[in-house]
Amino acid sequence: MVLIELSDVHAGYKGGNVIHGISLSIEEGEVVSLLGRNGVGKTTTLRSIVGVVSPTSGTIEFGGTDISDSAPHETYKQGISLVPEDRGIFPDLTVEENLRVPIVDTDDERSIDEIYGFFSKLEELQDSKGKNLSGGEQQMLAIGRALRQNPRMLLLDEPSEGLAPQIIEDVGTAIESIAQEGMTILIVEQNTKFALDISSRAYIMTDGQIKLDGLTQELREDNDTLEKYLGVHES
Amino acid sequence: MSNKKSNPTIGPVEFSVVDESMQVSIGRLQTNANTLLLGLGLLVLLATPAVFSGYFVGLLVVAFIYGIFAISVDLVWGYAGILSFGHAAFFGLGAYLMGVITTELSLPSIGLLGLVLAFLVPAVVGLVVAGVLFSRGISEEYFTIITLALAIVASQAALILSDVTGGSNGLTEIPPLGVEIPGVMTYIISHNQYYFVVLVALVAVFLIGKRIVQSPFGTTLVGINENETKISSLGYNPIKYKTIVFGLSTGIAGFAGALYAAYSGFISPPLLGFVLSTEVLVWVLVGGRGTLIGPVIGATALYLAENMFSGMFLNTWVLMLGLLLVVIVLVFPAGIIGVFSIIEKKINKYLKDT
Repeated sequence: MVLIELSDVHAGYKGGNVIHGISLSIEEGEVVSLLGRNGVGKTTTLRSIVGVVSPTSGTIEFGGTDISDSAPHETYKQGISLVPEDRGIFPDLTVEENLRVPIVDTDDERSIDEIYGFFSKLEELQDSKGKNLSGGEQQMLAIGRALRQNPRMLLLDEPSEGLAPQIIEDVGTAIESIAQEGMTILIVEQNTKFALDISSRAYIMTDGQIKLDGLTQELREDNDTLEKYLGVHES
Repeated sequence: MSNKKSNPTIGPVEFSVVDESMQVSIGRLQTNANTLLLGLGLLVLLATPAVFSGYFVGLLVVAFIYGIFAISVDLVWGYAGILSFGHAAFFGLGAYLMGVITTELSLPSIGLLGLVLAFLVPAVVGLVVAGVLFSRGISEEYFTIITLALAIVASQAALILSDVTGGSNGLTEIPPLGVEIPGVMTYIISHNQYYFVVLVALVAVFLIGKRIVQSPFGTTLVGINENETKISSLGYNPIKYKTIVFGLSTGIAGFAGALYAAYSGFISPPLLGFVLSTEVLVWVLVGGRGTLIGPVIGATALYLAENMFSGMFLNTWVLMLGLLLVVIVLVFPAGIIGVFSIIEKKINKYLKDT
């Protein structure tokens, strides 16, 4: 069953549109990545889904509901949780306090203990201030916090950015374990290898448009395509 | 599965979720020295009428009313980051409501109803203005410009609607507050007693304000001010929060206006206008934005300074006052309260050492 569908979405900022006719659809339970070089409109695509920017044309449907013009707190209540690129951790709150911030429906939340179940590291750090966490720990916390409302879909904006290779692997393992529970995930990444490893399907963007999409198994072999659109040199 | 999120919880639940989490970091700000200073200050203020002249006490009454007004501005500007250039429109609205009601219906107790209405009506107006503007996606810069226009419109309206407002002559002979139990007793509050009424009102508004900014609602406002997108993608509706705080603030401003009208007995269109709207911003800034107590100190200090300077420098007092403001802002960027927090730290250190 299709969970989210973008049809010919144009969106951008005051200076003009950044994405020009994005169409994509994601099935429930799929892990999909959106790849492309810096500045091609990946983050803007996420922002238009969440409602930080409104599409100037085109529609976004989520679970059969039109959310094209919904505000961020409305898409959140529909069940879309975004983990932003800067992670958005409250620096002066502890790990546990950060996990208490999101608004949750008490009948349908993931308890803080459940979050600690995914990220045992966070439990050890529960009384540490957000600003004292490493980049990887902050990323785990941001994902954990996004899971609190038990979303229907998780949007991850550059989860590997600025992390050491070993830590990227840990984050990847965590995302995979969330995916195994049946969570629908859309990952925006510049780190192509990382994204291809954890997702089953990928869209590749250039200049605000989707150039192609395919299964990650096939894309991984297709060095020419990766080189052409993403500048990846696979060994 | 598909209608899982169709009944989102709104209202009080949102507040309880953030409850302990955000309060923790603010709770620590309350220190011994802080409480000590406030307590001492309050004692001095209670003794003031017995020591000082009636003239000085009268100045303090107005200063405290302006202090309440300054708190109302600090709630929106200092915490939610919404700059209003037209808050006098609400102060004046409260004052005119009080003036019109008490001069039309000359019952001693009517002033009490006036105080309530002077809170409720400006609060509703503020809610509507903020609700309509913010939900139409107007940015905070434009909102500021619109509040400026609001002050100008309000003072013009007071001039034009002269049947009700007395036009440029204003309203005179507004009776002082009083309490009446028909057939039993009538009690009119004297000017000296009014000092205590206003002091109680100021302390009450301050404590309520403090309560609000330390509550989950208040900390969410600060969060919205710092990063609206971050807060809204955790499920909070920024428009709702900004609208509520604006309405609350305009209500308090109106309440202060009503206290003013009952005290001075005379109100006129400048009370709604641009000049008072900017003056209150200066008080807040000089006192210390986002501290609640700072704006009260700022309003009191500057109002008293204004009176002192106008006696000392007959022709140049406005210039002198302006220079003083420039010096304060340059030397103490955190406002007068910034100086206090340095003293407070010293006292705390002293308390710890002994």
